[in-house]
Amino acid sequence: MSDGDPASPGVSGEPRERPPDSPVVTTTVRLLVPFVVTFGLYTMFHGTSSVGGGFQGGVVVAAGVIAIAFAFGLDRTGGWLRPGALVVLPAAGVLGFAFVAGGPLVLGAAFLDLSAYPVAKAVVFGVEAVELCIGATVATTVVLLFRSLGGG
Amino acid sequence: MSDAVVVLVALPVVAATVPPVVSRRVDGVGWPVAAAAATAQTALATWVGWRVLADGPLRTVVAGLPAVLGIELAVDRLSAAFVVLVAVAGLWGLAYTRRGGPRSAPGASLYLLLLAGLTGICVVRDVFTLYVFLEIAGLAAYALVALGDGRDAAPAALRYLLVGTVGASLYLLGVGYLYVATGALNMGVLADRLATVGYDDRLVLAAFVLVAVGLGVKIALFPVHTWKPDAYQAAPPGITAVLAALVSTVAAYALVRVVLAAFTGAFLAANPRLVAGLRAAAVLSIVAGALLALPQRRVRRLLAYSSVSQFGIAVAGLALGTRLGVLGGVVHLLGHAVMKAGAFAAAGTIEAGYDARTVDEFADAAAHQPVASAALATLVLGLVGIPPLVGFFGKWYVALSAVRTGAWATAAAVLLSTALSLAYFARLLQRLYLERREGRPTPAPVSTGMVASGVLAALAALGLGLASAELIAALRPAIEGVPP
Amino acid sequence: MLDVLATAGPGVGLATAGPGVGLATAGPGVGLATAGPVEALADRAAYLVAVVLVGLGLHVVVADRNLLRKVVGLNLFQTGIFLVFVAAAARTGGRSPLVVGPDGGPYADPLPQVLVLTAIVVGVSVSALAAALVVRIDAEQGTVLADELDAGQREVTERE
Repeated sequence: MSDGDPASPGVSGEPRERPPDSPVVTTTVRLLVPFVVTFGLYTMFHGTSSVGGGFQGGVVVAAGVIAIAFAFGLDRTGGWLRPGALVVLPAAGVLGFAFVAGGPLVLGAAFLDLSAYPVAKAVVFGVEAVELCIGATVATTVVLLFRSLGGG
Repeated sequence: MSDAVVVLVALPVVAATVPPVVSRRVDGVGWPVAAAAATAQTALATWVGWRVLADGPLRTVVAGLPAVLGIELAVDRLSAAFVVLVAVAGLWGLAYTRRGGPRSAPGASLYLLLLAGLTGICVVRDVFTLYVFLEIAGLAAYALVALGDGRDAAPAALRYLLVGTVGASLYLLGVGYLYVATGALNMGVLADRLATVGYDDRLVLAAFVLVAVGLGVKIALFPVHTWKPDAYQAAPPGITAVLAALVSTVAAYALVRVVLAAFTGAFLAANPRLVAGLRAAAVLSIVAGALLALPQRRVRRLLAYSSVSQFGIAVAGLALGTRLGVLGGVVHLLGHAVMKAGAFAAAGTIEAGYDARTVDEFADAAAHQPVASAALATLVLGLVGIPPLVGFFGKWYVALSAVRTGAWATAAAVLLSTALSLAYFARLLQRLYLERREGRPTPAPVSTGMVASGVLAALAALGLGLASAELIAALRPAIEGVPP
Repeated sequence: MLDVLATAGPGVGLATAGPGVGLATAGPGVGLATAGPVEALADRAAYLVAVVLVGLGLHVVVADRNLLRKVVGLNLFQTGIFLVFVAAAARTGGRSPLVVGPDGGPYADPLPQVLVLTAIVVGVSVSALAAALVVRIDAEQGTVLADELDAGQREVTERE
């Protein structure tokens, strides 16, 4: 959910002059994070046939980003993230879910009745689309939370 | 058009995604988006209510599944009344916050998510989904309380969060027990299966107690009411008014719905001692809330403790287990929502315009803020229970049903609370109209919207009171399963 | 959705088979006559742990001075409740509820697991909000100890 929480103190402050962590950590993180993010996507897609789902995959992706933040410093990581994405993506995820779930209403079926879409295997693709939206929302929200709480 | 039920919940959620995104480019977009969404929500809620009155309940199951597998959403007359209340109060609250409350983009999103969660509670017929919406509304409420200006806002919000989450988790545990006992989460299916399982099964009894305690925390019954005075004191005044109108009211509706639809009146009839225990808890709340209100100096805390007492009356109506009692409780919930919200709005107007926080500082406010004071006086009299304001009728029917069923403690408690509320509110009225104030107040500007919101609430309290017979007749068919 | 329905089938079947089926197959429904109290407790070990977690969590929420620890206690409390759900979903010899072929065998009930997933998400959101509030309290009042908060006390004494 779009939790631009006003309760958190301001993120902007003096730039933190913290040297990056030891080369062991940075190299390991740099090697592992692509696999972590891929695993997160895999988890998002396979919610219906194995352990997984949107929320779980989103948290794994966010964990990858947080690992980068631990290794390279919060500010450098913040610089690598597009500033608008963290605010827009959660909203986009919610809207995506609303469209996928509300589409059947327009087509005359019940809410979230994905079999109403005139697409082959509509239920499977619909669920995957919804999981992706949820994963995007969760990942960006968790990263946003980490940045707000950690940077203040 | 049972799809409208889904749109009722989806509309505020979708609208809540707009302010944070658009506010990156355009300033001041929060309030207009919230106002537009609240207007649309009110229109839709009114339409749904009219259809329900004309054609009967609207019902849909998500994804078109059978009810035992899917999430059922239904609006009958009881739900419709609360859905309309949430929508109208949501729109009304924006009139106050135009000047006096949070207008930021996150504040607007939180406000809309609160409305979405509360509407969801009102339409859902699945005990677990009720928990989800309860927490959505709760999270939004905690964050809205934290938007207050003082240093007490964050601690008050945190206390509200801790107590509220414990309560919701206890409710969730009760839902878990119900599932273990019956294998069902849908209220209609639960009603059938609980009859088979037996109303004296310990798992079912434990589930009832957990559900009642969990929702009791959200209703703020004594002694789990401790979050309410701090939260209402610390939140922005417009938010306090909306929270007072809606959060505990909808939680009390949820208790009525779960008890009548899932446990059913037969359960209540089969467990007289358990119901007597619930009644005792309600009576304790009625009396303790009134007694705790007496020494309060700050007006907002006074109104908060008054709420503790009034919700005790509503729950006592449910715990009488009769149709008249439940109807009385429901009417009291609706009426109290209108009156308490208006009281907070009028008091907030005087707070701002006259720089007054405590009862003593309200002295002579009527000379400086005549309209707001008149509204506050009217609403306060309604809260005491003076006819023809709506506050009288709820109490009257609850007390009447208590006398008819021999629940003398309940009837006495209602009378006692009325007398006590007269005591503590008379002091406020006396200050407003009869006394002078020392010192120089530093007033802040007060908008027309702030004053108008109090007046509107007072008029609504009067109107609902005059139409109370029609209201009761309209709601009567929705209360089933209990003896008259 | 159909996938979910397919996996929900056996679970629903088990659940509709009667009250407390989960407890009956996970616990000494048969063994009660022969097993002693120790065995009875061991079969219900998960519920014992859940009770301990709930009690601990509630104690920390109420009694600890540090606000952040209260939040952690809240998480403990919720975890205990989730454990009750998951333990009730377990079946003796049960497999994970993913239908891969015609062979049956008892499946663990998937519905409580899904409920717990949702509840975990709610718990995460609540904890995040609570943590943000604690950070703000620390910034505004310089302390996270509950008894050191002034919580408007000064305002009260000024005005009365």
